Amino acid sequence: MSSSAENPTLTAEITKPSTEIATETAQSAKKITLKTSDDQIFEVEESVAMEFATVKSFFEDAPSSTDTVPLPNVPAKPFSQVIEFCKEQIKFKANPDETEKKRSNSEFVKEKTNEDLVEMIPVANYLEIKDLLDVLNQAVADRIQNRSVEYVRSFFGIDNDFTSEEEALLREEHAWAFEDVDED
Amino acid sequence: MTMNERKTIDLEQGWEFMQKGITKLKNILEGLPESQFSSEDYMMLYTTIYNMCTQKAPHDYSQQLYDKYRESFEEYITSSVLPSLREKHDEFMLRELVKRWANHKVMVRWLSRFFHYLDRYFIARRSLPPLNEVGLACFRDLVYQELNGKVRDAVISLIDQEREGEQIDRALLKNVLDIFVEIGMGQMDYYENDFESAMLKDTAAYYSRKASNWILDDSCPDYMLKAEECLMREKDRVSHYLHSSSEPKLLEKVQHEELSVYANQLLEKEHSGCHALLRDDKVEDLSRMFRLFSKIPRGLDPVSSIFKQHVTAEGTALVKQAEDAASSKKADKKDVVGLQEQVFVRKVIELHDKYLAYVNDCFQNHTLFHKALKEAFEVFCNKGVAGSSSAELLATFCDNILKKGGSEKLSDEAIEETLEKVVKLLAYISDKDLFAEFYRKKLARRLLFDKSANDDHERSILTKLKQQCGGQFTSKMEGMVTDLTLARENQTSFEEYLSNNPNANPGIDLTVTVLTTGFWPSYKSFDLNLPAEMVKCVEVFREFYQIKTKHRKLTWIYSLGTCNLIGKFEPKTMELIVTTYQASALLLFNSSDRLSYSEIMTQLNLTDDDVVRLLHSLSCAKYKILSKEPSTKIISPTDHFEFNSKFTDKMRRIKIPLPPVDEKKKVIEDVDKDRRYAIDASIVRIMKSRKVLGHQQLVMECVEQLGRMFKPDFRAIKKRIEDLITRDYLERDKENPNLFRYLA
Repeated sequence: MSSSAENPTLTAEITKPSTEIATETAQSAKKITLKTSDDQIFEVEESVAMEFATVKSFFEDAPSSTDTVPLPNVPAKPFSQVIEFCKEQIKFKANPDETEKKRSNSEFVKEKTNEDLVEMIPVANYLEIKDLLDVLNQAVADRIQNRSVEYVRSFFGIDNDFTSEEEALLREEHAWAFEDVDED
Repeated sequence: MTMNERKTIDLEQGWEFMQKGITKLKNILEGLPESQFSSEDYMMLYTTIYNMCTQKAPHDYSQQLYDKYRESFEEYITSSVLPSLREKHDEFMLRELVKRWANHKVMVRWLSRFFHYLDRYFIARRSLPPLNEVGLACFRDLVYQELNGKVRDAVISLIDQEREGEQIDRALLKNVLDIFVEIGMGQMDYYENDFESAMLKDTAAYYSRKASNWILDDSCPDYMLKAEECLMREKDRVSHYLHSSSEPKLLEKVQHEELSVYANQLLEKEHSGCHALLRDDKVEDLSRMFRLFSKIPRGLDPVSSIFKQHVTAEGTALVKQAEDAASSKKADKKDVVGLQEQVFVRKVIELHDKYLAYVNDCFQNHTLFHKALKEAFEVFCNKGVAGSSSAELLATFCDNILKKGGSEKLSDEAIEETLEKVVKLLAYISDKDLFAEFYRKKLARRLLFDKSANDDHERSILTKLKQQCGGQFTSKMEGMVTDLTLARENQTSFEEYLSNNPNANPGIDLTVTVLTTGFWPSYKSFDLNLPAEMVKCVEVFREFYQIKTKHRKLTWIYSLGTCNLIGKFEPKTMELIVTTYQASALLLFNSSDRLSYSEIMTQLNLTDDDVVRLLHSLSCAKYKILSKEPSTKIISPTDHFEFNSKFTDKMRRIKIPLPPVDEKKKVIEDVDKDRRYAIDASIVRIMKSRKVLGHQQLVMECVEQLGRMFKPDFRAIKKRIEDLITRDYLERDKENPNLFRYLA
């Protein structure tokens, strides 16, 4: 009894740094293994995986789980781009800088092809990455703004299922929508 | 694209998969052998819902899944939860409920994760209750609604057991009551309506039963101890397992049953109630009484009124005691300055000290008790003792402390402290003007006859009086003290004047104290035929004063003078210290050996009263400077007087006292006269601003205006009104004789 009462500061001095080291190593060491729909294995840092709300909510109740997490709706190609985005995103979490974040986000989408964007959207939705979903949706909206019907169809890979009569009628009724569109 | 490549899942097939997961969850909750959810289990369940909700119509099953989500809970509750709860009772039922609620929350958490995609779009777009709420509502509607009555009764019965001293599982109650709170999802309605109101009712009934026994069996202090203990326990109860919002309501119930209901019975208990506690100085019990009764509405009213009664009674007893002592003493010795009265004032001060400490300590400085103390002191402080008003007693008391050789021997600090207390007592006296008049009389004596012990104390009490009664109250007294300082300077310059003008020197040492009329009490002046030697003195001083000041009139007050005479008696020469009156009378015998009463009276030009008084002091008292014929103890107009040349005394220097005229009557008359002016002034002031006023109102306002100085008598006010009407300041209304008009 008396010894514990005498040395509380000493114990605190010993334990505090050691726990800090422990958590740091755990954070840097802990990786989460994810498996895409095309059976590719990704090992990502826990902090990146926690950006995926879907994955995070499982670990909330099973924090010590080391199982591989299957992501049956996620192909490897857009997933690697999603991971790239999330890694960037985490930096801003520790050090919030709105303008820099905006710049980084627009840089991210600028480099991506239309196809890249269209493929990443369902992945972001499935994994519930709200920031990414917002960035992607805005980027797509920017790209199809003031574009022709044909361009938008090819952008999303949609087949035209109107008959030529139906289409002609619609074009006549909403003629204003087809004026002054940008060149493809 | 991925999405398009996905195989459509139909409802039946998808749900079959989901049910497997749900069954696994239920098994875990029921404690059956089952492995934990793996990340794969979780992801597959989530993905199934995700896919079934993102399929194109008509394969979007969001609505169906939302319904099935609810049904899953309903099914589990009906088949497992309710049966297990229904078969248990009392504490066991409570334990089961706590366990089931905890499980339910786990189930809601997991299921709402599996179904999470519904929350994100389907539920949000349609503003449906979110998954978490749906899950909790199932428990509320099916379990809580059925059982809350039973649960409430079980909880209340445990609380009552604890009140009776049994050990109960407080953590269990805390958990159960948390359910009442949590089930409201942010609203306190369920806790308040389904539990709290019944608990409060039970509490009231419980303490009503307890109190009805205690009030019969226990003494007031014991009862209060129990009550305080109960309140503390209930408070502790709240902090351990009730919701904090219950505390004021719960305590209110207990206070009502224990204190409000029995307040009078408790306070009036014959041998231990409030009276007895005050009588026996049970300070601790009184403090407890204050603490308890301060919590109930108007609870302190009866306590303070008993306190007032008690203090009034104690004070009145002191008055009675002093009265008795005075009347028994009166028989033998009348003239001795009332030692009894001094004792009385001391005792009143002690009484005040004691009960002021009660107010400050036991009654936490509460205004109600300050008021009670004030009212009690006002009652007996205005009674007066043996024909002397308290105003006079206080003034005499001060005089005794402030004069040289007073009956009290006190240190400077003690004097300061006592003066402070006397001034405090003055606040309770309604005739402050009478005090001021008596005080001025006594102050004048102290100052003029050099009897004041300490100038600092004189000034200090004036400061205290000024603080309490205002500058007007003390301005004259301060003027008196200042006058004396000025008079001393004046005397110095007079002596200088005499040494510079040797011709003017009258051959007698003369000290003159010049005072300002108005500051001082009024004295008779110019009534005495001075002996020639003294007339010269007066002339010399007048001349000196004329040089110093212009347009100032000197009025000589011989009645306040003292003379030192050298008496050449046959045995030895002696110095006699006498008043100017006595000196004048004695000097008559330098030219005549024998004088008759009437000769003395004519030569001195004094009234019968004065002559009798001074001749008595010279011929019938301790020192017989004059021999009287016939030699009796009283002076009569036919007596003759002769210088007693045989007179001697063992002292060389003697003071022959001249008993002062009884001033009391004069003081009271003076005050009465001042009051008439004060009332007149007040009535005129009021009427000037109001123009027209009813009798009643005028009297009330007048009393209020003057209350700071004295309590005017209604009849006196009425008389002054009549007088003002005759002097055309006011007139009565022609139609309503109770209405007065101001005549400018």
